[in-house]
Amino acid sequence: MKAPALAQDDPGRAAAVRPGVAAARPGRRGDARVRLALAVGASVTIALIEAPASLLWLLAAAATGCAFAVLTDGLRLAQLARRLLAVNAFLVLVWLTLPLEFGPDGLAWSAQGVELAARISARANAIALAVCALLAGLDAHGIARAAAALGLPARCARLMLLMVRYIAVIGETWRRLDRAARARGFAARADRRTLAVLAHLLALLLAHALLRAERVDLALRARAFAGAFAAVARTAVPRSDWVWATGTLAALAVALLLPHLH
Amino acid sequence: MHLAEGVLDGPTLAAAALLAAGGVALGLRRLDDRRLPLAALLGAVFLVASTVHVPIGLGSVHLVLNGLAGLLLGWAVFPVLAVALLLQAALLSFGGFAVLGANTLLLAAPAVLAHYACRRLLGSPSRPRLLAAGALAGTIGIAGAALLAALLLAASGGRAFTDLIALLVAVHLPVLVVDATIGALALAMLGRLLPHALRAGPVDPPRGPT
Repeated sequence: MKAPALAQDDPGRAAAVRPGVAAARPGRRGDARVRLALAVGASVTIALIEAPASLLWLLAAAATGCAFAVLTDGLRLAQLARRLLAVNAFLVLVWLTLPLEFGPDGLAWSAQGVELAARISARANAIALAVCALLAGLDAHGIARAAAALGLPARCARLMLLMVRYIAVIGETWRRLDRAARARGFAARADRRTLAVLAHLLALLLAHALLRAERVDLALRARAFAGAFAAVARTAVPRSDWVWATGTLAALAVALLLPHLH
Repeated sequence: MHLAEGVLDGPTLAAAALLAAGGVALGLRRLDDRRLPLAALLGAVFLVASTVHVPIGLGSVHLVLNGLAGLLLGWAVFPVLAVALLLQAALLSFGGFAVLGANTLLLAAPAVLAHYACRRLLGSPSRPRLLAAGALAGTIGIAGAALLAALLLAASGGRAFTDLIALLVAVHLPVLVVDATIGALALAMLGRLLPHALRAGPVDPPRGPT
């Protein structure tokens, strides 16, 4: 049984537990909405690109972006490797099935299938690299604030901010329950006992959440909560983000023009 | 369960995003502000639980629990899952931004179905009824998600994806068994811990005169 990765990676969790330590961590300052908009825009554009030359160019450009992010924004190589692993886990299924096809003569190698699998892999990895580079150094709070600043509906933005907060809280509760279970000799195995214990832990986690929701509701009503939080002061977009915007848009423009050059 | 970036084609991505956006809008409209913290807390539970790996034989599967989430959240499962998937795409590269609509749709649509199919069983929460509700919700959630993923892949790649679809469905059979079992046992346990919470109904109560 592994610990929750999202809550572990989230500096907000550290903030909830050890405020002093979290404050000392270097993080991105300023408004990240330009970075998030670029990451979404680049993802959608790359997802629609078919030309192999454009995809190779985008892979190279996104990898260069990641190299810059490692140098300037504190993108950690271990984190990058973990994220690329997550992306390529699905691609294993693609490579297991697409290059082979059942024909009248039985199982046959399909050049078309290989080409399609290669294109899918290039797109997925180019998008992952671009997103890692553009969102380097951003934590869950940064993403939520950026999404709210980009015009997410107000209620959705509030839901996102609350969820980011509670992922830290629930993640910490889960780790406590997990530690307690392991201290009593529990080790996850492929048996019925493991399923029963995990179900028990999940029920406890849900009970924690439901009871906390009751407390939060009472606390909000005690403070005359009327359905909206006071607006968080908006910070300026850092100048370096405009450099990233220029680089990203130039890379995408080259990718879109490449197929028309011959 | 996430579809990766780069697999689906443009029209499929656009259609799925449109449907998911409709579901999110409906979910937000039916989620009143006082129940936002409850929805966010349940969303956080399902996001944290989805990182738990359960060993099965040689490998392990991770929990999805979208059916159970749908049972407890109703239509609010759409915005909650959309937010969870957005955070996972941004912070962990699970799924992605372009495929966000498709992933939201394939997890949340069966979850809403599980809500309508199983909510009556929560009315008088006895242990057998809760076990049945949890198992049914888990089955509908995973089977529905696998079916929708298959449909989206078929719409995108046609025959080229036939084997991929078969493999994807096969890979999700153990997920279905684990999800339905853990969902059923957890719901029965929750019924014993907090019977009033289940009797009070889900986050998104049915409309109409009460």
